[in-house]
Amino acid sequence: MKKSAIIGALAASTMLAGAASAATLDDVKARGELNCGVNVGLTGFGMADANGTWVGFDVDLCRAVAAAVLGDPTKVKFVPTTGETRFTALASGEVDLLVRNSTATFTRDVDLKFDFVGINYYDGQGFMVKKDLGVSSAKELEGATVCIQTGTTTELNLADFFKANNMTYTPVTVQDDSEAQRQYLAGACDAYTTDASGLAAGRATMADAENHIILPEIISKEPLGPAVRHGDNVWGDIVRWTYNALLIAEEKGITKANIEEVAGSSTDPEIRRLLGLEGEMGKMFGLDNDWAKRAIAANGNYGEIFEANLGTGTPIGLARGLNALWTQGGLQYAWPMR
Amino acid sequence: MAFATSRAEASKGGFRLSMLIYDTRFRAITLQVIALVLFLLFIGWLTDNVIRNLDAKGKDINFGFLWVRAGYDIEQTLIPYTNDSTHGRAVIIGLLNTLVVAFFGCILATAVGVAVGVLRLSNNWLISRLMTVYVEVFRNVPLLLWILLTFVVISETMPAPAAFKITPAILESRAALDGLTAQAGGHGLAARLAGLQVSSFAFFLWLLAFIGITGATWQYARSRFDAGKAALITAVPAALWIIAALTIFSPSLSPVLAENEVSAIGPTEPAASKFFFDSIALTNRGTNIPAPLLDRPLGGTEIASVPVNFSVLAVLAVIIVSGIANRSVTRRANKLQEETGLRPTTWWISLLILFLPLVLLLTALGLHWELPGFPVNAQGVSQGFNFQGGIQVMHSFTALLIALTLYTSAFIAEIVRAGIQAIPGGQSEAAAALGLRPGRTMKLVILPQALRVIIPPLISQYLNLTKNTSLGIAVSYLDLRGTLGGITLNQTGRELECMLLMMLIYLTISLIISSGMNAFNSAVKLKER
Amino acid sequence: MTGTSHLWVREEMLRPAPPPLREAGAVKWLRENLISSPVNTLLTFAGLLVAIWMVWTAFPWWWHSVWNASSLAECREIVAAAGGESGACWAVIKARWHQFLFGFFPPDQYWRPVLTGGLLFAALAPILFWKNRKSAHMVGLAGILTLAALYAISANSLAFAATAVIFAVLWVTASLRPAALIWVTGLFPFIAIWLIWGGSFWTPVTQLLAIALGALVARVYYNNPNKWLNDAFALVVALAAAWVASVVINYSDAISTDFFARLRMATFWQGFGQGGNILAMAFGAVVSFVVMLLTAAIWLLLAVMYVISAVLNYNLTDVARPFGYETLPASAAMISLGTLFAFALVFVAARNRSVVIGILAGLLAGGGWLLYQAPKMVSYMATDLPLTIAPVGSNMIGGFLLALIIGVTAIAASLPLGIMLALGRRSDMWLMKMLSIGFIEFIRGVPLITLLFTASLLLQYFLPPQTNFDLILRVIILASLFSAAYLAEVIRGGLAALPRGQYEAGDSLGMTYWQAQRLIIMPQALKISIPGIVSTFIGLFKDTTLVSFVGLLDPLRGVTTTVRADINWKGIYWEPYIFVGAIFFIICFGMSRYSMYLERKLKTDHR
Repeated sequence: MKKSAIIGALAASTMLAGAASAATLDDVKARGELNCGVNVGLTGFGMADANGTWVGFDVDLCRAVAAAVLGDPTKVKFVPTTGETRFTALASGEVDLLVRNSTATFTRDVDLKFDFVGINYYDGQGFMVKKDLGVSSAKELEGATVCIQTGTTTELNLADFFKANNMTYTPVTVQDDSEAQRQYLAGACDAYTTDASGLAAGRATMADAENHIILPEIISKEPLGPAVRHGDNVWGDIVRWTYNALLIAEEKGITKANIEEVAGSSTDPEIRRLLGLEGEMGKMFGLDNDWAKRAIAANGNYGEIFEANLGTGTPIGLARGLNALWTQGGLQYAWPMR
Repeated sequence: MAFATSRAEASKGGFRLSMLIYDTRFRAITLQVIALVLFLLFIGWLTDNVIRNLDAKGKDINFGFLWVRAGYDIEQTLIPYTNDSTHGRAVIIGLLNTLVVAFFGCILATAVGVAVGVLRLSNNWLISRLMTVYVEVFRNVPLLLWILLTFVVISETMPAPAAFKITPAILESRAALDGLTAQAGGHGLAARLAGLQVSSFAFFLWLLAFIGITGATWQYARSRFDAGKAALITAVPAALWIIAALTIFSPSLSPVLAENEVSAIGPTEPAASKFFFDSIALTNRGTNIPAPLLDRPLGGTEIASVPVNFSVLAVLAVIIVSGIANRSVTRRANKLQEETGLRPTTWWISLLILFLPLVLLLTALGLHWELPGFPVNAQGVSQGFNFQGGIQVMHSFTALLIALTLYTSAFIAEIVRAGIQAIPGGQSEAAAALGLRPGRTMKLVILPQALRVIIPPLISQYLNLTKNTSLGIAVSYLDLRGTLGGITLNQTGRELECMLLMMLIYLTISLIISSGMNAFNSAVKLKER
Repeated sequence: MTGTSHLWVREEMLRPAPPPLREAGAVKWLRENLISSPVNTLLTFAGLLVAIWMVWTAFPWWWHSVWNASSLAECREIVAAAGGESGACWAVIKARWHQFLFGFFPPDQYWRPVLTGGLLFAALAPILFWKNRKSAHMVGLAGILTLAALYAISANSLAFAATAVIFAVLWVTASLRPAALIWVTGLFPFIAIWLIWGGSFWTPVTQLLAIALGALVARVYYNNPNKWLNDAFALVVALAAAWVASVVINYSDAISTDFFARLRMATFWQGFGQGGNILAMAFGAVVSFVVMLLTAAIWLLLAVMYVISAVLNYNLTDVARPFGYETLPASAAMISLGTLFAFALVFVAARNRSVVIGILAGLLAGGGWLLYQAPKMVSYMATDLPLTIAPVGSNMIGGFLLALIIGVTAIAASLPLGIMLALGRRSDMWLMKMLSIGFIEFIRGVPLITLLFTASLLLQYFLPPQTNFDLILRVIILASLFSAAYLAEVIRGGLAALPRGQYEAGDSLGMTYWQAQRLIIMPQALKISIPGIVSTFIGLFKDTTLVSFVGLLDPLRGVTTTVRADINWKGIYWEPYIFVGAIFFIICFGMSRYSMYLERKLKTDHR
């Protein structure tokens, strides 16, 4: 219609920048860049180094997705988001993908309308205290002062835990992880609570790590995963399968180093499907068949990414624990590639 | 071409379209109509976008969340609140937290600002320079930095609550010390003088203060009395100061013991102690102050889930009534003075009227103070993590208050200085010619005139301070922005509702403050006829 | 006679006796300045006490400063080895200074922001000094500083040489014809945006061409003596205006067609009064009532237009049939009415050479060219002669670079808006006055932080669905609106300070409102307002630190958080704060001193 043509022209001329349409994949391809929401600065998960290069566990997943979609793991624009702005950034289309230690919950899924397409880190909320406090269980924290990060699920978990155990506490709400650790170290709170991975990472980097203990209680389930907007299933599938491809690669022993070799020699049908040597998997969601190969080649498989950013070889030194493959007693269980 | 010289003549020509643009009478209407249309279109466009966006997200505008359980805790609450309370109540808690910081901030900033502003004009070279530095440093660095820095300073330099605890080790050391004391001798003046830590920095500061106080007293005394009498007068504070030094800088008040024996014993006191008669404890978490408790409270009720305490109301009522009664007394005295030239002595009547009823009421209610402290077990060993009893003022509040005070007072100081300097020198000269002393000149001549210059910018500083309380976010002070615009917004995901409500509340506060202060301004304004 | 009396007559003046010890030299100064009265003595010693105490407490920390270390732990070891209890670890600044200044800007491109900064001073020179020779000094100084900075960041030699040439040319220009520098000021925004964000050189060129085209059109229109040409011109402009009007009306019609339906259907209303509590219901009722009133008032006007168009529509349907329309769209009448009205109004005004029409024509020509031709030209030129520098995304910009971009852009953008608001607030037209007051008081009544959160959280609701643009741009827009409200109050003060006679003088010379504003009122009012404008800018510049709360990399919290996330620098607080605070102090203090100097210099009245 004529009228809509005029409106279209007007709309096109007045909009200042690209619009985030329903087809995120097309947008990303047209833009030639993936907008990825990450943490402003959380050691091991997402932070910028001295050169401004983003590194971390979450960051590498962004890069894998960029490699799969755009063919280049460096074509990522990292958008630092705070606990308060992250979901708005995703909802408004400012980022295509949010990988920022976000817990998948019912309300975030249903009410805020996001899809958590995978769980890249299984975590749980724990407590860290100083050894000389003489506490060995979270149940002994009656009347304690506890530092928590605001804008997260941990606040609610904490309140629930103390309520369930009929104890009282004084909360000290803190903006970010580094500030929380400062207050904890300065003694402004008796206990510091956040995801167990964060506690371990924090403890590992403290000057006097031996004087701090992480209490045995894990008071919540924190499945952390990448989130996309509801309603764009193709894009969700791409992120989900990029993540699964990294897991399958670890199962099958495909690493960054040997991927070319495996691609040349492997006869395992699943590996051949994964690496695009058989079938038309990539074409089904609008990518080419090499997508998974590129994603794996970007930073290696899941295990390599874990070891490079969080693993025992890093100062953070986290064990795989729940995040080991299911074959090794963990929860990471990739869907079959067929 | 003939020009229209009057309205009648102009309208004779009849209406032409061009008059909408060229006739000033119509042009104003044309422009306003165009502006109105554009404005309405703009608002309509915004509203439409909101509705379409909400539809696209499947959301609605729903304030129902205000009556849903909040589920989170707030560290500092002025009225009762638990995580079972509603989000609406959390909003009220946040609003009260905002208001309480703004209220105390305005008072403190005014007090500090006026002092700094006046001192900056002082003829004391050192003080005026120091005050200049104060003003320039505090107003040229972002407030956010001051908030963060103050917070780090007070939370890093204060001892942890655990340092106040009496541990079993301390009790053992005390027992050991008692045993030693029994054997040791007395504690004479000579021993103290010998033990004076002359080389310490604290002693140097003490010496400076000693010179200052003695010198000032001498100057004062010498201006009124002869040298001998002045020396006698000066000796009094000097002696007091020396005695204080002997008690403070001497190694210990306890009997002199052999040093190696004492050092063998562990600490006999906790690492930190409360001050001001053992009633206030400064920790790195907050300031623990005594809480007023009533033995015979008048009870209270709840109006719309906001608690109303009758005892507090009664105290307020008594204070107000006393104030009114006192005013009538002073008014009578003023009247008498104008009629007879003699002012009756009223100070003791005023004192009586102001304080006696209050004291009587508080005694009747059974006021006493609950001191903060650790609960102790039978052996006297402290238990628990934190101080019990009293009120804990969190450091996020203190830091925000201090930083706001420092920052805003620098601006207020400049306003006060400009206000005083705006008064022509002739005014103070005239006052001097009338024989007024400097203090009275300030009070009766300069300040009333300067006030008119000072108040309008002061209002905007108060507004700035109130709005700047929202920076409490930096130290996680849970004010209105922290509850409504922070945790509630996050947990419910209702950005639109939360932000709009928050802006509305801030706007209301600002408008109330500015209209209140404007009313005050017009009250003190020069009455022109 | 009793002999000679030995009268002794002094033949020369006595040498003046030296003043008593207490009335001369250092002692006198001490007596007068430090211990003139008991109160003063007390104050002096109290001041001394505080000053010495502060120096004494902080001194060891400064004394044990460490400049070379790769981590905080290493710093602490060095301090401990030197026998200090605590020491400043400036090594963090040495390691990360570039992030404090530039954020994540690519290090090999640092010459771009540095050059932009240098050019900013060159662009400011004509504003500050106008035809004064001092502007040449300023340009020279800026050039030397820029080159020094380029050397410090070891920029590549091409950038160095280019900068040297640019500043040499500017300096010569400034020395010969200082006023010509104003062209640099005009060009600066385009060059700065290109330098910072990068991309094709042809983008700023086409933008400038658009402006030139607009200016040319306006100029031709004013200077055109031919009546026929003028009428033809008026016709073209009026047609263009009519087109714009039709598009606007069409668009608003498209919005309003389903608006009432959407309003009714929207889940909007269900929210109010939920909660079961009597207070909740009362609250909901009040809010929904207010919302209803507002929406009713807003759409009343459109409803009236609807009725008119519906009536016309009834009659016009017959007319439309021969043209192939079965029924004329309801909006057609409205569009034609509004379009006709716009056409007539603009045509009449254009024939009479109205100032506004000249501007309108310029805008239409330039805007049209920019929208429809410029992109083509950029792509042609980019293939033939690609003058491209690496594009830098907004997410790479941080530190003081970000603070300066936001501060300078917002204050420059808010100046015209602030002037308009100030004039609006003093206007005789009731509506303009009310709109201005409403805007100013709203912006001044809410904290900046809520406006920033609006930029990051709320703007997505107020823009058409799926519109999304750069967060820095959103923040700049909101910051501009914020400072515009404050500037409006400053300028209003300046306007109020002018004696009535100035306005009357303008009237008596037969000047129009805008002539009087341009030639008489504004030059004086702005002059009086300069200190206020500078202090608004200082305030805004300090407030740019708040953007960290919406996830931007401001120097104070954003960059320090990033730095502290690095394992090597975990737990470092004082040094970054002091470093950032010192830079802020230098800039803000310098500006406030400069505004004092200006205040003295501009004081032309003789009191």
